[in-house]
Amino acid sequence: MENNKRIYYIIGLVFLLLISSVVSLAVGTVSISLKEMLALFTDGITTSGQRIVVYVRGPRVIAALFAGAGLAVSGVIIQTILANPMAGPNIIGVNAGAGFGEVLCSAVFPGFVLFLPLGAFLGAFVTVLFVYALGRITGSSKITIVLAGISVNSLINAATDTIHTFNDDAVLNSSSFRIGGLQGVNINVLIPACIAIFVGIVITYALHNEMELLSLGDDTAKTLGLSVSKYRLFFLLLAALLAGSCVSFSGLLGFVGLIVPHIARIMVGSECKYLIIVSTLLGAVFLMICDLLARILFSPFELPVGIILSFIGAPFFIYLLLRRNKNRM
Amino acid sequence: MIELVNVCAGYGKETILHNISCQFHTAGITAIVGPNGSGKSTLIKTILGIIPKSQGEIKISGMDSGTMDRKELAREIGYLPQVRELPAITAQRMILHGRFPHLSYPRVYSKADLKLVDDAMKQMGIESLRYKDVSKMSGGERQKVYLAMALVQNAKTIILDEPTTYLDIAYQMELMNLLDNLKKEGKTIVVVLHDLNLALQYADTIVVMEKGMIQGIGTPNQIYNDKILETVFQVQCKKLKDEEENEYYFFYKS
Repeated sequence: MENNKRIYYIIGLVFLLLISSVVSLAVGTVSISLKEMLALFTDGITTSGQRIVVYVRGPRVIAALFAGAGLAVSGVIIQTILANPMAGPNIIGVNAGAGFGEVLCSAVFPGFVLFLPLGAFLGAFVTVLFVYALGRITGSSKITIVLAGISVNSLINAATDTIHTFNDDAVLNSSSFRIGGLQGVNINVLIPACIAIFVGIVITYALHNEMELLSLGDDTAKTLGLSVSKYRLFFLLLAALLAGSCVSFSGLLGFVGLIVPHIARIMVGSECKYLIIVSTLLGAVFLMICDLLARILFSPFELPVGIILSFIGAPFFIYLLLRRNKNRM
Repeated sequence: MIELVNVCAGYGKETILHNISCQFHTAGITAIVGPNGSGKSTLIKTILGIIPKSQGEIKISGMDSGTMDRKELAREIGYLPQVRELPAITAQRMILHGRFPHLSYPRVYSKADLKLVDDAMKQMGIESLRYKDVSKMSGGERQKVYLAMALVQNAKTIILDEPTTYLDIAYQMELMNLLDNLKKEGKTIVVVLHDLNLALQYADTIVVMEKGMIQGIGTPNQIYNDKILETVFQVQCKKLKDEEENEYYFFYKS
């Protein structure tokens, strides 16, 4: 694929992101005009609509943008490093691990919200290492990793439920946390998590050549001068940082990290330089639109965005399984 | 030149290679042959540092390989593995990664690197494949792309693990001719081959392996005359000459 086409995709996605952000800020139970939003920059907060934009929809749009981008890039890393297109942060249990870390953290250190992203990151990192090691020991086939992830998912969810059973206050609303949603996002958790996601994506992009070398296989990467073990561990750490940071404020949002890298690959191929940029933008646009749908589909009632994602993601995963089966026949 | 002295290596506690000593000469093709499980791939992976040696010494251009880091080693030896992942990236991008061992931070490929890629594609005759997805190429096209990547790596030695497997006869001959041209340009070629005819036809030196040990090293004529292939593979081998004095070998089971 020639680079011009990729650049057009990137420009298109930037426009789409801007438009979806503005629409997300404007549309809801209370409609806010573009003029009213722009007046914020000149007059400050003077109307109730502007207050909604700044304190309710603004943080939510930022949350959708960063969670979508972070989960998508985490998915790109996991799929590339495990050489497995069916892997994604929620499929192999990384999101569940992050959720467990967060719940454990809130049970052990109640009130210390800044510890939540750290707990989520550690939970995600330990899980991704465990699934990776399990895959290596059992032969590392593509389906083994997925099966190992499903087992780990169940185990971690059981552990998370145990904490909830004995400690109701661990995470205030455990069912919405598990489904995943962006309503009422905690700004104190959102800011450090967004910084971590931004740093994680920038580092991933800076190492796009190294990531692409890993996708060529261990032996080829080694003989091209790459320290394979060191970089693989570092990339898994980055994937955990991204997924953990997202889970810390959005709960267990599924399937973004599975679907988005696939669509990005169809658009720009597997060249990591473009794949990372397009996945970042597409992830943000995708979650923004899904969240908008969650808000307006049954207005004035609101669905958690995790439900919308599951309705899209689960059939997509089945499609991947069917396609894999067809390719083997 | 690559020199091995009493090298032992294996996987975990299992030793596959036993006291291997041999030399791979500059500007020559060395073919490593042997039955399945004889340790051919283990030998080249040990030279490349993919499998650690448990004993012995490996010298690459006079330097102890144990003192070389990954990048130094990559600047000395290019490698075409037998089994490889097939990324959905273009041939141009794939070949460009051959420059990775030469990059320093921030590791950005330059115009000079792209020029080297152009030259290598021209040399391999694959300019038309520049934007073609590697995962959608035929086996023969893919081998040429990997060989072009080894060329831009600018390594003195190129090691290939069964590069002719799954290729039809025309591509096999074409690939071996390309290796012969690289040899003439001064490259050291080490190639693991299953096809004994190709080994006898193209190699300057043949290393015959069995059960992790070297059973014989020599020119194709020496290997043929000493009946080493017959002993190791338990087949009969005959040499025939055509009217133009070209030599051909054929194998049969008595």
